[in-house]
Amino acid sequence: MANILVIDDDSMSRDLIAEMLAEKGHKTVKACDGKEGLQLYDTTRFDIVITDMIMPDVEGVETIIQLKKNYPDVKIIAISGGGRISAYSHLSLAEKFGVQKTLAKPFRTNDLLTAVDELLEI
Amino acid sequence: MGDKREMDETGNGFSRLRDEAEGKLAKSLDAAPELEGRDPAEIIHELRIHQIELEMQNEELKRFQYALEESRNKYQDLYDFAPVGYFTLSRKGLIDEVNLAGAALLAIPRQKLIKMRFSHFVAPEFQNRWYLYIASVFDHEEKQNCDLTLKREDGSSFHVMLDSIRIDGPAEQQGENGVNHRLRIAVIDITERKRAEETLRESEEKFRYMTENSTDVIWHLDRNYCFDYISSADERIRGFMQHEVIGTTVWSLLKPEGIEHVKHMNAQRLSDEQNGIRTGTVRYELEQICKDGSWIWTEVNVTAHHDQNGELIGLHGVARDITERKREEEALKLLYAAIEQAAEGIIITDPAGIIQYVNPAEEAITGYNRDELIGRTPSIFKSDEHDEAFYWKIWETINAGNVWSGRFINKKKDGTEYHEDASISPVYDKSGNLINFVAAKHDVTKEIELQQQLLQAQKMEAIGTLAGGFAHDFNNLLQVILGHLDVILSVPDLPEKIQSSLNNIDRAATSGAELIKGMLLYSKKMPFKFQPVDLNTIVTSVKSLLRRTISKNIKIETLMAHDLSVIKGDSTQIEQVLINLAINARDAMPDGGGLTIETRTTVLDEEFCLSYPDLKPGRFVLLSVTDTGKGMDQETVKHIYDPFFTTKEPGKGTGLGLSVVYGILEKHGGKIICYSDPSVGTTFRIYFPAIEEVPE
Repeated sequence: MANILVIDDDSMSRDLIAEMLAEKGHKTVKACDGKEGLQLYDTTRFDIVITDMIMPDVEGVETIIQLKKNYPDVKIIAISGGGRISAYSHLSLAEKFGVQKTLAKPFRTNDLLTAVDELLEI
Repeated sequence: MGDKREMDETGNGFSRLRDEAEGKLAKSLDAAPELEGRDPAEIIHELRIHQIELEMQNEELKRFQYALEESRNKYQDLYDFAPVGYFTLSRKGLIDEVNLAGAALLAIPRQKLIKMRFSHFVAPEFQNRWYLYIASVFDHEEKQNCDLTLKREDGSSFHVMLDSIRIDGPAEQQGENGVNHRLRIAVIDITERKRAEETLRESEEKFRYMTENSTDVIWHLDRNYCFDYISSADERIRGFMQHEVIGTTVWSLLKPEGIEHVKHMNAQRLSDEQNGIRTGTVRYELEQICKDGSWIWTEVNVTAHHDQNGELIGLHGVARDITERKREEEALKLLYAAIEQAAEGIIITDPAGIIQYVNPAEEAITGYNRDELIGRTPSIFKSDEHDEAFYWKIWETINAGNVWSGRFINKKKDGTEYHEDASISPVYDKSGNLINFVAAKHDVTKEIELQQQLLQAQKMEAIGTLAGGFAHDFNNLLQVILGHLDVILSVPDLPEKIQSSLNNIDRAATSGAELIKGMLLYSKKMPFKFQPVDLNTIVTSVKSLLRRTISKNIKIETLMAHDLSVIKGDSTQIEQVLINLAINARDAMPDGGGLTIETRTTVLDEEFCLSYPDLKPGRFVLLSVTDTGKGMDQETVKHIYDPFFTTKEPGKGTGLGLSVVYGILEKHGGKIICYSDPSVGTTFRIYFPAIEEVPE
């Protein structure tokens, strides 16, 4: 049972991910963008952060950079429905900035739960 | 002179002499008493001896007189028939004697001239000179001469030179002071000589005028190469006055290299002259110094000057300032070099369009050398891409005096077509006559190819962005669908009907996801897993897959290099590329054929990469897929990487295949090039950058 922060600007995605995690008994806190997510992490050390990449205001990459900078041990799963920054996809870029797992939407519930379990074992 | 009258006169003379002698004898007998008492025979003997002596003396005298007469006659003849007019004038200037020539000069009979005044025949304007002259002759013993003009009674005049000397006249004509001087004048008609002198003077004057007024410098050097003459043009050209140059040597004008050259040529000239070879004109181009210290270029023509014996006594020369011409020559050389070395092709034709000149760049562009083009017209380059109206429009434009600019699709010597941007301009001379057309051409074939590639890339980019945006949103929606499906499917004991429906929804949504993945791949959205890849392994596995799925009437052949370099790539994606190409090849051969997959290592050089800017020269692994199917025309080939472009029937293909392939290869740093011919088939060549060694 883990405490997981879900950052996604799409409410349906947020709710769905929360529901998927709830299946396994994980607790989730939802944030609608990177700014909110960072604020929340400052107050609570979540076990895992799941963050979407394409978001308004503070983007996924920026969120990851800030988290990694302030909390080097943070465990992050980056998710994305597409998009590209120069030669890299968002997810490959996220990997470059140190996220441990990436999932491309649409992913299955099992894919998500497996990624979470693997991260918790580390 | 031997005539009868003169002989009679001589006879009378002799009898007068005898009378005189007898008279004298009579006187002497009276005064000669010593004869008395002498023997008469002795006296007679002595008298006879005397007589004989006298006769002998008489004979001697006769002979002497005869000789005298003869001499007198001879000199009279010489006098009379001399070619020069001889006059003898008295102290008063009257004509005492004149020879036939003199009478002929004055056109008056000799007898009539006697006692005429010579001054009567002197032209009025020379009267003073005449009087001063004869006064001078009478005052001097030596010969005096003078020239003046004589006038005949008919009014005609002629020029004469007078050579005069004072002589003693006959005693009975002695003057009061006891002297009787006369003048003997030789009158020489110098009319012709004067005319010749005048003509010569005029001629010299004319040549002097021409020499001094010529814009070229005319000069003469003596044996020591010193100037003894230089025309005033030198002052105009070099600033030196004539007297500053006369006496100086020619070496003082020239630069050391000029001196050396001239000395060398002169040595040759001297040697030739000494060997009896008459040298002609030698031409030099030499720099000469000016008074202000500057140097000018001159063209100098030098000719040997020989005396009457053929000895070389000097050099004539004409020098011309060619500084301006040299400058123009240099400018022309520069212009010529510029045109010869220009990267643009240049063709010059005459007004009829006949090629007169092509530069090396044009030879390189067209594949023809200049000998093959000169004399031909530019129609030699015609492809079938333009109609006659196109060419007529050009001709019309340039003949109206305007410049035509545009693009040609021309044909090289080897038959390949190329694009060129050209401008054709008419050229006129100073009188406004059309003398040439000049065309400047720029081969833009490569540029067009690159532009098309760029356009293609931009198209891909634009579509990629669109697709990316669409995919992102669609994925989010699919996430919701599939996510919730998972939730529902996790509910135990679902009715079978609901389970079945949910499964269908799952399949549909998943297919949608796959479709979007394909599109994302195309727009490079998928993260790739790059690792060292041996293409031969992929080819082998794909071949077995293909063999199972492709009909037997298509022969599949693989040619794999043993020493194939390793590449860095995503095996799955590369498999997808190969499968995609193989499927397209199969579809191009509905009635069977051959499919060949080849791998080898190759090196791409700079020249090759010029056409493909996203390729860097180096070592590559080539994967080629060739079919013997129906091929594609060039127009189709241009669009094969466009997303949704397909030549297949509806339902047989989405058209995403090659656009995905293109995207994958771009991600790999590779390049795909298509060669196709409707009568032969198609080859796709894919270049992957090779890596040197397998990383750990």
